[in-house]
Amino acid sequence: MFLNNIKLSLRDSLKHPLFTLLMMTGVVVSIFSMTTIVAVGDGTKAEIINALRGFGFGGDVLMVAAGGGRIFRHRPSAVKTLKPADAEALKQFPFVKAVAPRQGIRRYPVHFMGRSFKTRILGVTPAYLEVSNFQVDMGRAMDGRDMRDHRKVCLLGRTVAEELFPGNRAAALGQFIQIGKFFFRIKGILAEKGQLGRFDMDDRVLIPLSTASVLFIRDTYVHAISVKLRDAAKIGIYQEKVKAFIRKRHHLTPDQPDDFRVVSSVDVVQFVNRSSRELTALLIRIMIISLLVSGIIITNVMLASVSERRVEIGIKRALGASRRDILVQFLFEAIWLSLIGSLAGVCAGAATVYFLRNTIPAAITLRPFLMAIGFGLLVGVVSGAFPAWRAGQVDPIRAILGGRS
Amino acid sequence: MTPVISLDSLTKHYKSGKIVTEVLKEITFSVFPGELVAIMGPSGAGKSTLLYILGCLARPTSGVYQLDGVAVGDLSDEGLSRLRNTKLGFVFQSFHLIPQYTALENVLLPTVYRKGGKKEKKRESLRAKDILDMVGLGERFHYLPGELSGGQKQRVAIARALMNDPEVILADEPTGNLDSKQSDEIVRLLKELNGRGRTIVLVTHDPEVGQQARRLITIRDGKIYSDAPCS
Repeated sequence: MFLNNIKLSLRDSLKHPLFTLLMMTGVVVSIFSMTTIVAVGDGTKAEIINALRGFGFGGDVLMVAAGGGRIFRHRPSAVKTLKPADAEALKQFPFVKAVAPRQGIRRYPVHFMGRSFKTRILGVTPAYLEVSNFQVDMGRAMDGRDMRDHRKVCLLGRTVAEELFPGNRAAALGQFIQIGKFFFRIKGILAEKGQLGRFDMDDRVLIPLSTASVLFIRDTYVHAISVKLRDAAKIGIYQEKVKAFIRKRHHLTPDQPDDFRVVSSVDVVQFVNRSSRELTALLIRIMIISLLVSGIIITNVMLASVSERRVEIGIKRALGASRRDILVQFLFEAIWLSLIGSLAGVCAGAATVYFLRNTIPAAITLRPFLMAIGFGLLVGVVSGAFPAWRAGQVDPIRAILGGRS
Repeated sequence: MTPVISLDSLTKHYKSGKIVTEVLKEITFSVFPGELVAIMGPSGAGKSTLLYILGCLARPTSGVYQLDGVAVGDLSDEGLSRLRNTKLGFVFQSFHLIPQYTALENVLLPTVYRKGGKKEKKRESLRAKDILDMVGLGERFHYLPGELSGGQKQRVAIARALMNDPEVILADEPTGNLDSKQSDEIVRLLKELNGRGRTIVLVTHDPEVGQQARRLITIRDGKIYSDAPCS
């Protein structure tokens, strides 16, 4: 009998298409936005993790950065404590494959024959290319002699090469570009790496660390040391070892905080996850509000529908429907349309995401579908409860005699 | 023979604020299987109220109503609903078919509220078609009420009332919305059903319809004024 009422609810929903459509619209729109939001969130996260890997910050790299604190923030006062000697000392660990200390010089204009371009100048050692997964596309890489002799040579990132030598990057080799007051010979051009989010990996010029220390920073401290490991599996243990080692080198007593930080890609992924979790939580709050509005719409339209269908309710009561039968039927009408609306919304959302997959980063996962079913049921039950109760309370005699005095 | 319907000192009061209206006063009568009873009386005499109490849609204020041996007063909403579903069939003045349902779906509606498995479904559908055939609508199973004439609608309604094979058919002004030709047809159909042993109680204020019954109960001011077999 219960099953009969459920079947009847589905049939009757289809027989009142206008009400059904009206009630469904809100749910469709809310769930549609939810789906796209979740898909874009998931997609962005996947893209960032992917990009990190390309950046050379894979699972086998630890980054020691100057200044204590969180992953991307540090205490500015303590940034001069990290030295090239720290990098050299790290080589003594058998698990360390290579180390690459670097100085990041702020964005600087570089000039060639009247063209100029503002780019990031990095002072690096020859190991940098290996550790950070850069390849030399044209010309040659930096070597130990460049370092030792403080040579004014440079490697151009692909973007910089395109800007200064449009259409003919090969012509750049051997030319001199001006960085600040100094002229640097172009020794090589790096292979293209692409974008990390909005960050252009190819917008950089590499110069020897020793040269950068003398000409630009005028000090020997480094901003970061990338440490490539032989074995990525025990990265957590190595991370702690490196940390303890550098604390000791910096003569930090147990009550002093770190003046550096050791970050693994695991930390970055966790960071990204957390911030995207926060974003998702916010969006879910917005979605709940919009579902609430849809729920209120459903409740109101259903109340109108109940009063419109009073006669029908009266007839059904006369033919043997109990109050409960009527309540169940109307409740399930709300559940059906909310559920069907949710599924329509999630499918429309997934389809939209699918068609825009080349334009926006988005991933279609099972999650929005499960959420749609959950919220569909919830909204249906909550918003249908009161109208369904009202339907059960309709006085059959008055409804039947409605037309008569 | 035991009566299908037995009323003993039935009263019904309506309260609106402090004013109590006595609609029915001390009504006592019985209806036996196979009877065709017409209840007549002026408007406001309480005949509709009486019919809906008989139909288990309203409860009497006091008195005892037994339907097919069951004391109705003790039943819950569920119990009353089951009684309406299995023992009663309703025919209304304005037909009260569900406009979105076809004739066949309307006739099948009472089976929705009855326990029945998958096997039943097929039998019910066959039975519904048989009944529609019997009331002369064999060709119109899939018509919507809007596509039928008044007389035809009332035939569908009668078919629906017969669907669960009730003990009693209760008809509230069944010819009230029909012209005289269609009215005659409906009365003939009801008499035919009665001829086959169906118990029918109908409310009317059309004397011609009343005269067709085998027994006529007249109500005035909430009391039975007369109760006599028709000539």
